[in-house]
Amino acid sequence: MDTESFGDWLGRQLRRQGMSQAELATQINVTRAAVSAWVTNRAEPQMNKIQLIESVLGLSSGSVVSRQEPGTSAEALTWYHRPAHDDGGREFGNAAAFAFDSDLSVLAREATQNSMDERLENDEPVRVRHILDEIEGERLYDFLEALRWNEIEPHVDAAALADNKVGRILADGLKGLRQTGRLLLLRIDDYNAAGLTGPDYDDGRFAAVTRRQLESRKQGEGAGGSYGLGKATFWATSRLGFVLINSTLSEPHQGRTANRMFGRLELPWHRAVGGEWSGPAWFGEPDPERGNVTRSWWGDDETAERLLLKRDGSAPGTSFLIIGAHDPSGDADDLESMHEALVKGLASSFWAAMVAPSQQRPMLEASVVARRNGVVVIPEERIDPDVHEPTRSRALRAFLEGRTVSEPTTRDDVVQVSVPLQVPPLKSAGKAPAVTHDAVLLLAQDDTTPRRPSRLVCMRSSRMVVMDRGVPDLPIGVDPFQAVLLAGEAVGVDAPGAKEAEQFLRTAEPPEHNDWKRTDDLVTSYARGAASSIRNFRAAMLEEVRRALRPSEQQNGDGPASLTGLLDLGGSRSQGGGLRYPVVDDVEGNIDADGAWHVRAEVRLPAKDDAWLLTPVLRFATRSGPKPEARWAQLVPESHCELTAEGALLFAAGARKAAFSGISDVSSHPVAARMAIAEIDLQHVKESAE
Amino acid sequence: MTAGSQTPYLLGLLSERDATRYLTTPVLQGVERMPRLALDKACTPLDDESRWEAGPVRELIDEAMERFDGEKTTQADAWLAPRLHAMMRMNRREAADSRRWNFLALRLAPDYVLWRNSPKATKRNPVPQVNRAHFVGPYHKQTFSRLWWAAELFRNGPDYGPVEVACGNQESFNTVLRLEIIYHQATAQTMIKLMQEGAVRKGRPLNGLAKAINSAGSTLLFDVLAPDPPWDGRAHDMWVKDAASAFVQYDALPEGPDDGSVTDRDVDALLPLFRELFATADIRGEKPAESE
Amino acid sequence: MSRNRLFPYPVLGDVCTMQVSEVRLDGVPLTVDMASDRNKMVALHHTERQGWEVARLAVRVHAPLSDLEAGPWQDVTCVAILSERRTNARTVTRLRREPDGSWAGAVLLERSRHLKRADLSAHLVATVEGVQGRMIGATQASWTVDLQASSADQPNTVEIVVVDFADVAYPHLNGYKTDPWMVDATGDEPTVYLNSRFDGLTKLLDSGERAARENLSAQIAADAWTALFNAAVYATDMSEEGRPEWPEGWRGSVMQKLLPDIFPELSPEDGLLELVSRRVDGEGGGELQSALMHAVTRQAAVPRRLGGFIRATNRKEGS
Repeated sequence: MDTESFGDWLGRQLRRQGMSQAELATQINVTRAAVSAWVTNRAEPQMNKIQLIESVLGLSSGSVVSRQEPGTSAEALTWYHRPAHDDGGREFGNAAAFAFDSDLSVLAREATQNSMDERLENDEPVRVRHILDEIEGERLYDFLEALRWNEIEPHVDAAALADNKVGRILADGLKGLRQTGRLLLLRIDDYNAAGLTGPDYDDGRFAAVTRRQLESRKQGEGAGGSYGLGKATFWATSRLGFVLINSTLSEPHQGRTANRMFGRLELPWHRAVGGEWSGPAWFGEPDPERGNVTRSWWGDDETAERLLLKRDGSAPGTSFLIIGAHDPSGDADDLESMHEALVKGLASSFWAAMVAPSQQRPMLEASVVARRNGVVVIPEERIDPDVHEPTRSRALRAFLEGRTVSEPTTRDDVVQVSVPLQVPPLKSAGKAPAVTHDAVLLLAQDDTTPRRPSRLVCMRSSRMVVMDRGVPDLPIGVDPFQAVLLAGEAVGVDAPGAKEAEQFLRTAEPPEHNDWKRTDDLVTSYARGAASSIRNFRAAMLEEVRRALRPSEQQNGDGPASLTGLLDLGGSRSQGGGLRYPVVDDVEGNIDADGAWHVRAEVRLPAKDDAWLLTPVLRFATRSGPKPEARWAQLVPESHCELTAEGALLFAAGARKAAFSGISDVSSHPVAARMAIAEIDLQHVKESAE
Repeated sequence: MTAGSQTPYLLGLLSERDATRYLTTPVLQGVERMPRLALDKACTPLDDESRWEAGPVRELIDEAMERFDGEKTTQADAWLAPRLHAMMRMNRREAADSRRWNFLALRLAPDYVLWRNSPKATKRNPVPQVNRAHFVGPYHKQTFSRLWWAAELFRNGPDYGPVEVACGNQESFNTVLRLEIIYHQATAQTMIKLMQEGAVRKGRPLNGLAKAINSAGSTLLFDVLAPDPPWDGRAHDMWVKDAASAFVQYDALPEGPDDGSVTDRDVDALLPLFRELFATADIRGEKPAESE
Repeated sequence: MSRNRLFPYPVLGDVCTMQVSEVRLDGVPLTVDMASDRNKMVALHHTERQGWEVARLAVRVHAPLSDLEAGPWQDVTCVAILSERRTNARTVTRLRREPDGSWAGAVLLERSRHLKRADLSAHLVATVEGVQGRMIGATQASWTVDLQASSADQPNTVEIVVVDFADVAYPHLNGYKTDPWMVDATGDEPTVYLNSRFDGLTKLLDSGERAARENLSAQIAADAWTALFNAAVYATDMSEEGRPEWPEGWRGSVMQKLLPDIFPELSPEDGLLELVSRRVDGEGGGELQSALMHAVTRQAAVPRRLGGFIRATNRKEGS
């Protein structure tokens, strides 16, 4: 985009300062018509007049040439509340926000998906940063003052009276703020992304995010939602329905790129401060051309700082500040658990985008940090795919580096097989033939004892996990594994049918982008057979997993399976029906100065009406073979048992627990006590006739 | 009794299933002979290699019976073990096949089994019989396999000297040979050292020592205190192949495979510990015990 | 099982895990399905590579590092122990410490020192309170390296051989050629023989109707367990202390499996003693046989399989 015209620039400066064209004409001693000609781009002033204009407007010398202007300070900002509809219509919540069962992982997923869709076309990753900050005291006070909380508080109070879900959330949010004196902020930054470009009201990224609902701008082919439904999750994550934005643009608007700021409050219909209000409100610079409506402003660094939205460096991208952030699902309710939920959500959806072949940068870098009043409490964690998804990351990296195999020989080998996808032609393409695309299926043995072993995850060009499926009917005895399916352009931009498959699968995704299935869009856009094509693809990927896992060599001569199962010699059979004989349940002991064991044993007994007669035995463990016995020097019954003349213990009838202690006879030790493991057992006393 | 023409040309294999069929009471009592023809049917001869030639083995066994006739037959063990081992050259995989030992006991030299193991006739037991396990049994009981395994586990590389020492004490077979502690060469040689020193000469002390080491083995890994050399499979192979040209002397000790031996240093690493274990062991029976 | 044990020094316990990440036969890697982490088993029998000499197993051992560092242990080392009772062979391999705190190394299995099934475990060894070489921890479960198995899915089961009982290559079966099956409980490996000349037997077992197939299998299994148990009883000896010793190999396994059901109110050790003393006293009679039948019936899953068969038959008759 070219530098802004002088006329547009001048017009805006006059509006900002509330100065009329006539006033300027008088002050710099030209005719009103001359100023009008400048503003309407019919003419440009001479150099000496330009210097005068700069001085009258209070700008530094050279500002006109560079089209610079000072950022708007906080004092100039205000709120615009949309009045209620004249027809009496009332909206009690944002429809888009209800479309999702939202929680923090959904937010992380939607926000990051948008960031990746808006990634600039270069080799740099898009960097996504999540900052949780709980503020209080002076910091909170200053923040609320900067965003003119007093102007919106009555509206929020009024809206919170509504007896519905939104009203209750708002009421909770207000109660939390007032009772604790703390406010939790969640700021989501992206860098190396497009930023909110475009005009304030007309089509463009800015308007799509801040002014419109349910609009999806599909920019690139691979774009998922591009601020479609997903943006609603930002507002759904705020207990006050309040999000502030600061964007650094990749393409100048009004000749500027840094600190384009704006705020939007998403309330339901309410009655307050002497009027009826539709609900939404926007925080920005008044736009005299549109009555009381506010528009984005170019902030100065001080304002960005006060609104806690100062961005790092000049890399383009957007920062969303969610005010009164919470987990809509209610699962994570403090800073620490929210931190964890974000890390987990980012890792499970985007681990693949964070994997790069060696020597290269990934598509995405993501981090999460938590602060209290600006002080770091959980240090910034850059999400490492190898930590969160070690097996899957290993599999993908092997593919990216061309190290996959068709037959594994080590446990570290990654197996690659293909899964065919038939892409029918678009209806608009007429009688075009179907295209076959070979999706890539990667399988790796999972040695990490994961929470959910043996699953299949699927993705396309963005490498966001679209599907996470279990694999039913696995061959018996298969070790835990992880499978990754890459389809469309994830296989490679130039792979056969990649482009077609990419578009086809995108069309097969529901708004949540978490499945490939028959969608309305799919049957509308594609020729017959689209639905069955998706169905076949889903079945084929599971079949290929099973096939790849099947043992390569057929079992030979093992006899009938129904018989081998009954002739297992391994392991000892666990006795049915619980404890049937007394056992030593716990022992403690020490060796005294003479080398004798002093032991105390607890015995667990099964329910039985008769008394048990058993001999306690002290044995020394061995490397192999029989365990030599030692004699007792002393045996003391402690509870629920008594000592017989023969040195056995008679356990009381009906007792379930008993205890005894004893001291070993050192002279009977097969080896010094400190050299071996000792074991205490109970032996059945044979009632022999002899 | 001599070998005569009844000695087969090659050694063979005889399954336990077939062997037990012929171990009838009269056979165990020595009053009836093995049915040789029937046995031959059940046996599978080994490959035609000089190490499996039956003649020299039979002659060796005859020599043992001749040398120790009229003495205590247990004394034949120390003489026969190293020589049998040097003659039947094989690896442990082959030696673990018990059918080989069944063949020796039932087909090649049942007379030796009876000679070596027959209890004395007593008033209570006028016609004593040999324990079946001396014919067909675990490796540490069977008449021939126990000798071969004792030689294998007590030799120090090519040196059969320690085997003679070990086999002079029947507890080496009854106790030591069956314990896993003996898989460790340095442990075996350290026990030999204690036996040579005279501290552990009789059966009871050796039994006590073995038990003490075995118990201490529940907490100590002797293999780490004195690591064994890696097994030299090639050297062992060469020794096996050398069977064609080797000749086993009756008077001089033969040479075993040079497949890895432990040094005095290894033994010294364990010796103080074993002395201490022995000192604290419970050795039952103070008076010198009979060896069997 | 070890709640009745006392250690004379602090130990970490059997808390290590071991993985076998790669197996090579004479340098050539085996496919991954020859090693199963789940079954803790490595299969070394490969039909195309019969003459191999050395198997090289790459192992990795993990121990809970924080517990290990917090404990009073010095000079901690980790060794892998490969042993087989049949060949009286043991190989101890010292593993090296990896940067991530695990231990790794290659265990060599020389074919000429092993026959059937070797046991592979790992132990942590340390100096404790001045005593060197103490074992302070071990793997929870050891691995089995089976030289005769061709797949790591094969459990350790009794061998089943389908053969014509009239085949002269099996003279010991020739006398039983009219029998449907035979159990050979002698030797190092017990075998169940199924008679292929018995009309329809193997077909029923392989592909017959499920209920019938399972019911027949249960019958055969019950016979097999009975024969195995009786053979194992005779192989049980008394130690010099007058305690019975667990028989080795499959005979011990059979005892361990059946005794808890034969003498439910006795510990396995007491059960074994009871069994041997009854044998010595010549009391192997009725009561023991009933108890054995009960144990075998359970082991062979007879109630479930016979029940299923009866139900299936009733359904068929009703329809």
